[in-house]
Amino acid sequence: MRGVIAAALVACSAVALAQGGGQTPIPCVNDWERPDGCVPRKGTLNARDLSGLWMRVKGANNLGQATTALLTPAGKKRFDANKPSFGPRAIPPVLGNDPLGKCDPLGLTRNLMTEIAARSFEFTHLPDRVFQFFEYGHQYRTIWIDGRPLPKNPQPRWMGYSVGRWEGDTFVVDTVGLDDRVWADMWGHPISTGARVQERYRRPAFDTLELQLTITDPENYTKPVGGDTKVHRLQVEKAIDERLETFCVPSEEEAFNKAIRDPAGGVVK
Amino acid sequence: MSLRFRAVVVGLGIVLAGTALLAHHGTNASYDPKKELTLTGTVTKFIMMNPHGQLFFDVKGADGKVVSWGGELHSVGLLRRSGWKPDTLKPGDTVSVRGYPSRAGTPFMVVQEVVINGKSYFRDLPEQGAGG
Repeated sequence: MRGVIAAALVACSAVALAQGGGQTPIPCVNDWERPDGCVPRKGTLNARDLSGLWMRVKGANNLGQATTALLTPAGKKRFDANKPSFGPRAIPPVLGNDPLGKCDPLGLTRNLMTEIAARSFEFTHLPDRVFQFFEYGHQYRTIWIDGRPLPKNPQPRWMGYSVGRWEGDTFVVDTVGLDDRVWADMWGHPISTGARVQERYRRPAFDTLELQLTITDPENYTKPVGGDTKVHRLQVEKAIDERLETFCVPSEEEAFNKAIRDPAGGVVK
Repeated sequence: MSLRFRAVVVGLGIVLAGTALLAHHGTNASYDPKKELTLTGTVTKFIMMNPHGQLFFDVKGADGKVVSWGGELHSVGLLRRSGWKPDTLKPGDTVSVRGYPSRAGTPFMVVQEVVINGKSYFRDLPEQGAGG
C-alpha cells in the first residue's frame, strides 16, 4: 500500500512539474475561456528540445528586394504574373491574385516567412518525427527524424516532404517536393517544384528560437535566397499557452470583402 | 484600462516589437497612413470574425448629417490576445476611433486605436498596415 501511495505521489509531482512546478496561475490572455488561469512555465534550456509555442519578434516577413534582383528570366515572368497586396507592388486585394484571398494553402516557405510573424507556431517532438503546427490556417507539417532520406521523385505537396537531423545543437530540416502554385512570400516571389528548402533552427536560450531559411531554386533564382535570421520568443511565460484556432474560412473572407475590403478599395460589386 | 489589461497590451507590444505587424491583405494598398483621422461615433455593429474584426459606427457631422463608417480591426487572434470578447463593443456604445482612411475616399478606415469609456485599446501595439 505504501508503495502505491509513493508511486502516486511521484506521478502527481511529475504532473505538477510538467504543468509549472507549483507556480501560481496568472490570468491567461484569453482568460474569458480559461477561468482557472495559466501557469507561467519556466524551465531550463534543453537546446535539442524545440517544443513550445513560438512567436516572431525579429526578422523580415518577406524575401526582400535583394531576392527580386536575383530572379532568373523565368522567375521574373512568374513574379510579374503574381499580383500581391503587400510590399512595393501592393495593389488592393480585389485587383490582385494572392492565393491568400481564396484561402488556398500558403505552402511551407510563406508560412515560415510571413504568417508566423504575427501568429504563432508550435513544435511537438515524437521519437520518429517532429510536428510543426501553424496557427494560421490551422495547418501542420511532418518532419521525419528517423534517418530516412529525402524522396528522389516526390509528388508536389503544399508543405513539401521534410526530413530533419541534428548538427550539434542546430536542428537542420531539408525539404523537397513543393507545390509551385504557392508564393514563396507575401510579395509574390515564386518557388518551383524543384526547389530545395533548408531550415536551420537554434535555441540559444530557453525562450529564444532562431531560424535561418535557405531556398535553393535555380529555376527562379540565380543564387540561394532566404533573407535574414528570424528570432522567435517562447509564449508560455506570457500566459499564451494555446494555439488559437485561426482557420482561413472562404465564407468569412467573402463576407469581409463585401463589408469592408472591397468598398475600402473603392470597388463595389 | 485595468492594470492587468494594460499589462497584457504592453506585453503584446513587447512581443511584437521589432517585427512589422502583418496586415492581412493589402492594408497599405487600400488605406492612406499619411491621412490619419480620429472620429467619435455610435457603434452600430461589431463583428469579431476573421480575417479581421469589423467595427461599424455612425458619425454625426457639424451639419447634423450622419455618415456610417466601417473600420477594419485586427485579426481575431490579436483581438483575443488583447482581451477582447465578442461583446466588448455593443450597439449604442460611444467610441472614439483613430485610423487611416480609405485611399478611395469611401467611409472606411483601418483602425489603429479605439477608445471606449476612456479606455484605450491597441494604442501600444505596432500599427496595423505596417507589414508586408
